[in-house]
Amino acid sequence: MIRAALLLCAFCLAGPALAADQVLRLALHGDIRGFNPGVTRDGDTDTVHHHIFESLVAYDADLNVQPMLAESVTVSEDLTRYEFRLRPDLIFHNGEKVTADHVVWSWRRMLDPQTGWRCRAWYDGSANQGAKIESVTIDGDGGIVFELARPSAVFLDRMANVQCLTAILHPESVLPDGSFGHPIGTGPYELAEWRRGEYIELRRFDGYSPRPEPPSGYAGARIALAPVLRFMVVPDPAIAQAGLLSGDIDILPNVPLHLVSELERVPDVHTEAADLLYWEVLLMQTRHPLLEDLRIRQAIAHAINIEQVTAIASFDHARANPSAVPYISRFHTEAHDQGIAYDPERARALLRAAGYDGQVLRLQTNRKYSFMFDTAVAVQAMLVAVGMDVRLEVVDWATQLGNYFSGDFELGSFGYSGRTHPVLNYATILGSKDRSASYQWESEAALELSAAADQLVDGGAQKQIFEEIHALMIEEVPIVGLFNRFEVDAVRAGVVGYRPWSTGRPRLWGVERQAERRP
Amino acid sequence: MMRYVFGKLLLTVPTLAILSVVIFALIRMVPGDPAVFMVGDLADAAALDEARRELGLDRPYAVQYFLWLGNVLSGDLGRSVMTGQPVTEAIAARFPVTAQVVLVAMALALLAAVPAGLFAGWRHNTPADFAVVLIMNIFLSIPSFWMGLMLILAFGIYLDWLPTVGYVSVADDLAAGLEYLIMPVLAVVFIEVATLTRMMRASTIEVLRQEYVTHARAKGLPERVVLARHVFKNAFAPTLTLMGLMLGSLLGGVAVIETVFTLPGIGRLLVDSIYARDYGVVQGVLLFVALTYVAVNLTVDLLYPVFDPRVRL
Repeated sequence: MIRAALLLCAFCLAGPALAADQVLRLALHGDIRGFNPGVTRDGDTDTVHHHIFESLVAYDADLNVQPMLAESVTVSEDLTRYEFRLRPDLIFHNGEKVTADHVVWSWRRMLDPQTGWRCRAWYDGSANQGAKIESVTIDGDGGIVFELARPSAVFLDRMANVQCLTAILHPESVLPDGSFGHPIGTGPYELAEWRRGEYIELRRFDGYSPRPEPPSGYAGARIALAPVLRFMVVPDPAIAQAGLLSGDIDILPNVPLHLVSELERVPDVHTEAADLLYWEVLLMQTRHPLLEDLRIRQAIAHAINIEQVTAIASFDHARANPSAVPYISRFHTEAHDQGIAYDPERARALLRAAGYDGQVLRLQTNRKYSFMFDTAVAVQAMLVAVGMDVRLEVVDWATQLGNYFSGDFELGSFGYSGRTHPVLNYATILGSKDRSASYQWESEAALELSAAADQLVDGGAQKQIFEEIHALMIEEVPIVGLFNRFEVDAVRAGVVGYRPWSTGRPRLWGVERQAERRP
Repeated sequence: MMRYVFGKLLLTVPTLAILSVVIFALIRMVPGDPAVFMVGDLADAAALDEARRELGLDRPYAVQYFLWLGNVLSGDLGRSVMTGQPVTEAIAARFPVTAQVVLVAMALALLAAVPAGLFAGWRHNTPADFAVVLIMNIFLSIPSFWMGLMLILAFGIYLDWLPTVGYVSVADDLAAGLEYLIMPVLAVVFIEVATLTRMMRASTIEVLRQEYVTHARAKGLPERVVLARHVFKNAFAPTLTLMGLMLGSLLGGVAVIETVFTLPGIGRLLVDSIYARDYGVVQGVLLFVALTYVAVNLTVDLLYPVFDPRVRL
């Protein structure tokens, strides 16, 4: 009655509005930070950016790098020269044709320290591991040429990386004072409106020409079926769930796993699932007086039944993985399944041998990510069971993240966001804590192996190196690998074509509503 | 009157000066680093150092404070670490949302609480009084987030009358805006009506015991006139003070309600900024909230003589 009266009133007062079923609504956990790709970014921001911007290359669903804006990619034998040819039919959102000059301008801008691009260190040689771009130029045939100072086999992987989008922008996206203005990209959607704290609305870009290949991951044809996308900012999971049940939200990504069985019983909702690249771990501060002793770390690893922890924290959905190489990666072999065996007796013996006499260890966790909290509770119980005095320290996520980067923790239930290539995974954890307190594993041997993998084109040889690194990790126990996360997204009936994938970033091209939204 | 206002305004200067120090220190005492959020999960030591330099966090606290204070005095509350948005712009966009909900809710709460409190006080120790007290105690005991969730369940999901997620400003679309306002306003009304009713009831009971009320009744004035002319005005003055305090705190943000109903108000802005350690926004919003509080209470002070002529400013 109220609704009918208000709707009647709405017809009296308001002009014609966009039909509700033209808008596809997806819930975001938080507002985005802006539209400057790779500069104002986080997970939710990246999700929106990937609908507006594109790179020369992109990952497909099997985590292979495929051309996106590029028509072809030629790599020199010594892995120091990468040449790209652009597709001829590319148009920016402002109607201008994409040229090699735009690509060179975009890359020079990314590499300019003034831009504040977050991944510059991956390309200017300043990172622990990474490429060093000597020049980005246009050759006589209009090809875009990247010259590297040293060989890099994973240069294209870095370029296709989902976190640090290497977007090709129109220069008018940047204002004369250097600040970022309205985003002008090449993606299947363009920005319509950003209402801070409420939603981001994108509309279909009619000038877009999709690739001919079928859609796969971020690669292939990006066909914008829904005329309008609305990314709704709904921070509270319970409210987002209410929005889904009431039909105000069409797609709810990353449903808390304890709610999955409940949602599966709702007739108007179905779920879609994917194994993620995200890696959950137990951090150990190897410079802590107690934890610098290898025997203590080994004892901790032997005390933890990672299958049980995985089952508890993921409600039986995820799969245990002791290795930094995700089990869905093509580089994951049987060798990576070999972790440190669950053996409480051995754990107790190692503790005795190390002279452990009940010193307290604090295990940091947070409530924002329930799987991290559940992991911490399970790990604490297992460590207490072998005689260790481990106490939970529950802090907010900002504090835990700050402590991770400053090294201010003893034990930590933590998660790494998905990296698409093992070299990128190891680059996150490998390095000297003198250089960055966020490095977890100070192993020169492993660093050298990882750097060697970056010089190899042969996937088989790379696989072998990653197995060696994993074997070293099991030997030195700088970290206890637990599981790769599992994602379940809930989708309203009538929404067709939506599939989550291993990067955990929702894609809304190829998705449409085929049923009318409730009146 | 002008002297009173001027005196009050003068008093706000040291209040705000002390508050600025407290606000500045408080957010820095909370563990967590805004640079980490700015750089994100790709942070390395160099990027973090660069971000800290960009944000001025590498400078001594005193320098940071005086730089901020200098900017504030020139009307610049700074920028968000996360989005780069000027804090004044963020407040200007978010405050009307909160004000809209709070002012409508407060008006409705007053409309319900004043007669209810007056009636309960007048019928003190009768079943009617007990009923009002019981209902208000129930309202008072219900946590606001739970009330919000129940409203969403009832009106958003089961009855399917009202939208559960999102926000439309009444300025953009009156009908849709009202649809989105109903549940948050109701949730705030439920919280506030109980407190106001209890205050109104207690004041009424006290005023009814005064000699001038007995005198008015002895004069043979009808009970309706006694209540309206002699009891209401005197009993309402303390309720007005309480209303001022409540309004000040509510305008500072009804964070829980705003989160439950996904309203882009100032409370959610503050909470999100605290979680992200967005120093600029936290400092700016808290200072603005303090100013709002002072302004509301000053207004209430100025209104006081209207209801209680014994008070002279």
